[in-house]
Amino acid sequence: MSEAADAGAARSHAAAQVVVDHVAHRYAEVTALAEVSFTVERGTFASIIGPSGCGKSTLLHIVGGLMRPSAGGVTIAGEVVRKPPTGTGYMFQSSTLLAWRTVIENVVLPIEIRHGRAAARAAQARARELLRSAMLQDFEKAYPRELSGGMAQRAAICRMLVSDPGVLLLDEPFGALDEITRESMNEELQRVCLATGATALMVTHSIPEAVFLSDQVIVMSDRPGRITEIIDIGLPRPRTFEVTTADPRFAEYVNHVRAALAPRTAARA
Amino acid sequence: MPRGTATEAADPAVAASPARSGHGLWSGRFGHAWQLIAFGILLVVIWQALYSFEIISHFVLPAPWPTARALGTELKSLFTGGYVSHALFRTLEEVILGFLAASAVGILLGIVVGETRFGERVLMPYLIIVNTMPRVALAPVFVAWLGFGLSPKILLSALIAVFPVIINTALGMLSASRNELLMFTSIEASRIQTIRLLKFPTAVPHIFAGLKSAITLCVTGAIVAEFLGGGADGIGELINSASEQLDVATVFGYIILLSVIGLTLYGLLVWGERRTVHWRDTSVTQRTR
Repeated sequence: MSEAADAGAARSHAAAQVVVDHVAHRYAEVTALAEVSFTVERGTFASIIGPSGCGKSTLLHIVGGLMRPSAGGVTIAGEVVRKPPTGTGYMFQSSTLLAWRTVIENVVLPIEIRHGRAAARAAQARARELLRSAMLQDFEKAYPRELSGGMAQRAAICRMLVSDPGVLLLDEPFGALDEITRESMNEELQRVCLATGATALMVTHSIPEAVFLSDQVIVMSDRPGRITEIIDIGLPRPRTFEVTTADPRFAEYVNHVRAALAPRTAARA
Repeated sequence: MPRGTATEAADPAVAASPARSGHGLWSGRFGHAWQLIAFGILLVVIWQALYSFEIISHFVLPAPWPTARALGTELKSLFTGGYVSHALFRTLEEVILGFLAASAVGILLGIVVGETRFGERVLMPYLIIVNTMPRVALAPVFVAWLGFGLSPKILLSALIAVFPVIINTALGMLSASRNELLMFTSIEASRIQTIRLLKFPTAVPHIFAGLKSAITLCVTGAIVAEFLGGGADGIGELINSASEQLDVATVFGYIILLSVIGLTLYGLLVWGERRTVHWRDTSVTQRTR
């Protein structure tokens, strides 16, 4: 069973690509999302940025199959998303580690849910390897309460990666962390993406974070959420945080994104 | 989550949050020992004064010393296998069986109420009706149904104690966060898996809060059932016969004995909670030492 899953993951990995085609969403009378379309190329990193309430989390939930859109559709690796796709890893603003499970038990949870306990036990070696690369090898048997916020999110990254997903969906993953931890988490996430070749789509409201991590920044407007601009970020990889101060293009990109977000703010003021 | 509202509104008093449960006994939040002892002595002095100046009739309030003597007699009978040990065994049997029944039924119904629309919309209103009934008044009915044995006592004690277990379990089932629920959806967890691996473990501290309310209610329920039913030869009947003889000191002795029993059972639950919910980072497990 787990071999089949591995094969499935490998296949989606090879063709991973996210296509969002005219997705719209309405809650009762409110239009949360109006006709959103974009594509994320295989192995690239895209960020969705926009004001609170612009429907960016809704959009990510639709891409991840957690919600059905009112209109339009999403395909991941050529397959229409109707339920959470197997080759997709998810991360949330809070670490959502289960307090009653040790770190390693948390990491193998997705395997346990999808393929049962025996498969989860077999995945422990892989989990240990992930924890080592996240520098959590000494906390394998610890409970989440013993971890700092940054360590908990690193463990959540390990849990996301345990089933070798080809597509990563990140819902403001570092929004609750302090600035210093956040920078190191951004570097960690970049390392993971480069090492695995995964395609990533992240929702954020930090402009520097979006520019630092992304190949394209998708800027959205206030309700009803629509795309105002898609900005390609041409900075070379791997990027370190020195880029943010040393490379003048970084500041230009940040200003570009800010300007794309600005018309709304200006209109409101 | 629209579901939380009906159950929350039902009885905020019994739905004590588990975080608060640590403020009770055995939480290490007591004052220093000398303060406790000094206050206890003060209470006994006030008691003696109330007796000596006959502010309260001697038929109603015994003096501290005769009460202590009566308690001594009861304890002697208890530890030498006399009539008190027999009565206490019967009462404990009612309390513990009543508690086990209330726990099993309460947790099961709590899961149904917290987890299903039927439970929340259809079952819950009826449970509230049952809860507002003066269940003690049912004791004679239970005697008519079940006779004078242990079973009517167990039934009343369980019926009085079950509601806080239901409410706390239901609230606990609803207290998993939105992100945790989304995470479970994202890894394609089934409903049963979500209950077993997320919602129920999240509910466990809440369930213990309910069980702690239930155990004290069970003692009350068993004693009241013995008063009203009789025939089980428990502590309730001993209290009854002592008060018929106007032996208030003996009555007070039994009450003290019962509260010690109640405290012990409550303490056992707190101990069980600590063993089970060891992963929590709250005052319940951490600040006690």
